[in-house]
Formats: sequence, structure tokens, C-alpha cells
Amino acid sequence: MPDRFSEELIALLPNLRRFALSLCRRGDLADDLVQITAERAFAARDRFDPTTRLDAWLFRILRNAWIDHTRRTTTQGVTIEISDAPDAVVVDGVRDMEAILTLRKAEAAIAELPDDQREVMVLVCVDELSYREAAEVIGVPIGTVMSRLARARLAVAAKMGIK
Amino acid sequence: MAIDDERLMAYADGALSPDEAAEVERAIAEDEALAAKVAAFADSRTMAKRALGAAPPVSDTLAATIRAMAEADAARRQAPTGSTQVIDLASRRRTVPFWQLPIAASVALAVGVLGGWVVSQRADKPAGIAVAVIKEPALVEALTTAKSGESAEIGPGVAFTAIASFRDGEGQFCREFEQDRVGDASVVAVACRGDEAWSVRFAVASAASDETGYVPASSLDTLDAWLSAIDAGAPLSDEEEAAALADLR
Repeated sequence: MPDRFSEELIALLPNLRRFALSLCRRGDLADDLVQITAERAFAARDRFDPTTRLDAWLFRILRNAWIDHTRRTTTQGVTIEISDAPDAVVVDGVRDMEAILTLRKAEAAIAELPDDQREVMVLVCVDELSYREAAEVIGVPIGTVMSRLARARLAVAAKMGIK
Repeated sequence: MAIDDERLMAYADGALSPDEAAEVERAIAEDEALAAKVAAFADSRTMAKRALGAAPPVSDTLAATIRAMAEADAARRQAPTGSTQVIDLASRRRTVPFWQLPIAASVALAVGVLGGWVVSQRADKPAGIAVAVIKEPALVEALTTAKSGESAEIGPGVAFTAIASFRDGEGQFCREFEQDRVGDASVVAVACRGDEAWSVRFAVASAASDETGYVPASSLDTLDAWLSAIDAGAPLSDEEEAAALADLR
């Protein structure tokens, strides 16, 4: 019978896949990365510190799997949009159209960010990791996370017409 | 004093201490442009959260595969003999951006032949192979000061990159690092700190990096096997590493 670790891991699969998509932008590859992450996580579960966030730990494993992949292959392949579920937002009447367009614009602005900036934006703003947790996932100093994130957010704000 | 973007962002995210926050508030009260930037940081976060929203569910196939893994894991853990602990050595390594790891596929073991790392040589008796004590001042300096993830130039065209720090089975402080010499083999090595000096415990040389700079993950398998054999601990956190480095000075 699966225990709490397994249940939490399974509950986090959508978040893992979204993070994978933000890295590789390919649905099939994102699935592979999530699967590799789960394999490694079960193999190494005794090393997980339960006082820390499981998602941050899994993101780090997933990111390492992505790096392994990029080391092995130099070809990027076909990329698709960051969200492969474009109709996830429920349309509820005409008055919501503007809001939806705004969100689409935001999604596009995030998709256009450089890879390293998009990654921190997803980790901090969407999955709500702290700067430090994001720094540990990526393996860079916290100051690097903050400068990438600040640039990413100002770029998105500028594209959205927020001054 | 000037308030940089990072601090404004940290303020918008509620990540500052009360004192720091008060300082930012005083600054933005006097400067509308700063206030607008704080708003931009706050709005961008809200936008991102709403635009990417709840992550869409994964496919049934993927979910089923991972549920099967969870079942297998549960079965293994309940097995009376107990599962042997598998340590994920690949994720032990702090990730260095792959473009900083220019190692090509062919890997050759090369203990103690690194430039400037002299295998103990004495004229009066046959030297044979010995663990090499590092005497090169620039390398010693780099090992003692560079944080993991940092690079330093330790000679003309020779780059040093600290990869991770850990303690071996005996508690000795060790560092995994890489040395890249232009046009020459890259070396991934581990040096441990004895009472007085650093000594090379492990070194793997690989062919000069190719143009792409991509590394097959398998090239580090040898290192992983060795780390496992010496009972290396998990990589130290930034704080633990900083403390261990401070102790050396």
C-alpha cells in the first residue's frame, strides 16, 4: 500500500510536469522527465529530509535529469508551447474574455523569457518556492536566483504594459 | 542609499526582515518610480500564478506508470530482508550548468598526472604511485576559498570550478572539482583535506571538450562508484561548506 511519501509524490505529478515543460517545452520529453524523476525519487527516498519541501526536492531531481538529457543530446527537436492544455481556463461569458486574453498574454510573455529566467519564474511565482529553495533546486547562489527573477518579472510586466 | 531591483522584489514578495522592509518603505514613500516597480513585481507574480494556474493533470498512462512504481516501492520496503539502501549519487552532485562541464565521451583514468600535481617523487627511493599532495599555491587557494559552483583561473588558460563539498566516511572534508585546460583534457577530481594539506584522492581525465561542450552523464559513473565506495556523505549545504572552508583559514 502506498504511503504518504508516495501519495504526496503522485499529487505533485502535475507540478513536476509543468516544471519539466518549462525546461524542455516538449510534452513527450516532459513525461519522460517526470518518470525518471519518480524512479530516482523512490530509489533515493531515504535521503529525503521530511522537514523540507518534497516538491523542491523533486524539482531538483527533475532538473538533474534534464541536465543529463541535455548532455546526451545536442538537438533540441520540436518545441511546442509551454502550456499544452491551452483550454485549461474555463470560459464563462463575454465579460471574462478580457481577463482570459490578459492571461494568455501573460502566458506568452513567460514563454518568451530566456530559459534560465522562465525556470525561476515558474519555481518562485507559480510553485511558490522561496528564493533559497529555488537556488537549491537550480544549484546557483541565491543572488543569482534573485537577479534572474527580478529581470524576468520586469520583462513580463513590461510586455503586459504594467509600468 | 540606492534600492536595487532585487530588494524591491524581495519587498513585494514579503521576503525582507521588518527592518529591511521599513527601509524600503521609506525609500518608496519618496520615490514614485520605486513604488511603481514594487507594483510591477507584485502584479507579475499574480499574473504568472493565474496564467499558469493549476497545473493540468498528467496523462493516465504516466499516472498509472508512477502508481505502479509506488506499489513496487511499498512492496520492496515491506520485504523482510529489507531493501538495500540505494543512494542516488547522481543527484548528490550539485548541478553545475552543463555548459561549464566540457567533457567528451572518452574517459581515461589518470591519477596524479594532472599539471602541477606532483606524484610524490624522491630521488633516494622508488616513488611508485602515491597519493598526490597538492602543492600548487593557486590550486590550494582555489580549493580553500571557492564556493561550489564558482570558477577561478588558476593559471594561464587553466580554469578551476568547484562542484561540491562533502565529508568522506571518516569525516574528512573533501571537494569535487573540475580543471579545464584550454585544448587539453578536462579533469574531474576529488581532493580531501588532511591535517595540513590537500591531497588528490581521485581524478578522471577526459578528452578535450568538443565544440558542443555536452557531457554524457555516463562519464561520471566512475566517480559515482568511487564516491559510493568511500561512503561519501551528502553534499554540504552552502552554509555548511562556508563553515568548513572558514575552519581551514
